[in-house]
Amino acid sequence: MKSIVLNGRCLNPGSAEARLYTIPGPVSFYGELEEGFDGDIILLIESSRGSTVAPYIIYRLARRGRAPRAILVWRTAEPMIIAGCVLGDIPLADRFGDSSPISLEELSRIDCHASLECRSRGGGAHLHLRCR
Amino acid sequence: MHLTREEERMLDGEYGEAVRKAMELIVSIGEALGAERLVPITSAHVSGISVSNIGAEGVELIEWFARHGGRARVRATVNPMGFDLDGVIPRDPREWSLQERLLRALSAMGFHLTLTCAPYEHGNRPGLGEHIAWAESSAVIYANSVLGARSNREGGIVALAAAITGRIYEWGMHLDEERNPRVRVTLRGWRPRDEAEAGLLGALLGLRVREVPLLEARLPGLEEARSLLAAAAAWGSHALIHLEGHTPERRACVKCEKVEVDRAELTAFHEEHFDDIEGSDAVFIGCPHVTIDVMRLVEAYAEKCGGFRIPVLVAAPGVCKLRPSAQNLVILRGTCPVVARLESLGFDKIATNSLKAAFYLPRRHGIRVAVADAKTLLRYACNPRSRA
Repeated sequence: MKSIVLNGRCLNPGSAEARLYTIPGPVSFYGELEEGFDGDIILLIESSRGSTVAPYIIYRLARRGRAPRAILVWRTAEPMIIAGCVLGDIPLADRFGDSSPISLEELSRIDCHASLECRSRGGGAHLHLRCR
Repeated sequence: MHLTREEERMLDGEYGEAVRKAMELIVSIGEALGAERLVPITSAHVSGISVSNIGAEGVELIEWFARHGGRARVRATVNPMGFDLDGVIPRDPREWSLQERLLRALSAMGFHLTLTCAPYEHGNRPGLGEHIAWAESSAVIYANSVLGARSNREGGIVALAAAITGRIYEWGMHLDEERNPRVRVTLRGWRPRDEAEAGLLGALLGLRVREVPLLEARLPGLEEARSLLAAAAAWGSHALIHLEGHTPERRACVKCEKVEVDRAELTAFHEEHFDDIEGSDAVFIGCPHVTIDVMRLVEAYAEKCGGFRIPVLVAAPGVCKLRPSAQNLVILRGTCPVVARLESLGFDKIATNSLKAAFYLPRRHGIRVAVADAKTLLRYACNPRSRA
């Protein structure tokens, strides 16, 4: 069991704990993630391609209980994903890639349990990972 | 981010749940973008009001804002929807009833149901230097470039939140230095002759230029400017183009990169991307929505031609009063073929004067497109007897 701590920026406050599900590339909620997820996960994506419909899709996933427990962005979150997380009450943090000791590629190949602390808008976010 | 006392109170829920949620949305995005503060806005324009796009949950979300005390604090208008007001486009009863609920919720919040992508022609016309929050890329670029108002290309829900709070983050197009031109565009010995050519040039600028352009060429008129701007916003991500004779802000092009476009490029682009007009099974005019002048032009041709031999689709604002009737003349009020379900009408190839429509029709509906100016299109659609 390996323990890793990643630091980022808190955009929509909240805490969450679940299995980490990593997508090592840009993601479009419109078209690619419309169906959402089975079970509890924290979603880590490299970045999002902004469609103006994305906020509604994220909100819809939250309403149907198919949204991630939290969304983490490796680079910088774009406005539409932020809007979706605020509307759907999903914790959101970004910029984990800036100071990460591990690459996103590597993270996507290992199994991690994640817990997110994100307390104040614009403040720091801390992601604790236990991986094998 | 610095918030005023009133903005803090909005965020704390003192103005109700809808204002709190809307403020949270604006502040979170502003934080992420690195905005230092919010600015008061004078106008909002909301897009994304088609049930086919936002689904039942989107309708419920907007109803939630209405139920929790959301009210537009500034002049606010709405974009076209996926259905026309007169039922020309077939309506799925379930979707239509959701659409009606959505319109009721927007109306209850004080949004004017203009149902147009050209709000500046219908009572929502901000002036020089006004901060506004508009969605709909063609209206945003018009507001920045022709009216001198200041808006970023906002998402529909962000524009709605801005209307409810009366605020938007001070970022991008709201900042003086971001509005300076960075690229000087010159045309080598030519200029666009009509709105279709202006649109082709706009599309090229959208594809080739990333930063704020200054176009050093006089366009024949406002219709050509509108066409160029809408095209640049659809084919690229522009929010502002400085146009000689149209842009009220005079800003010098300091250390500008130079880009030259010659007519041969325009012709090559046209031939590469679009079909020949022959064989088109419909004509489409009104993207952005027709102005009264163009509507009169259509009316004049309809009369002269004794109606048309193929459908002539004209997209018009929901508030449009002028509704000429003639054989094969189809006025689509409050919608636009870009967002409407066109499949049911069964067209393979549509000829249009809009480079914005020419961008979306193949991508969203798999329809082939030909491009020409409105007069050429109307002559093409004219009954053979009266053609010539």
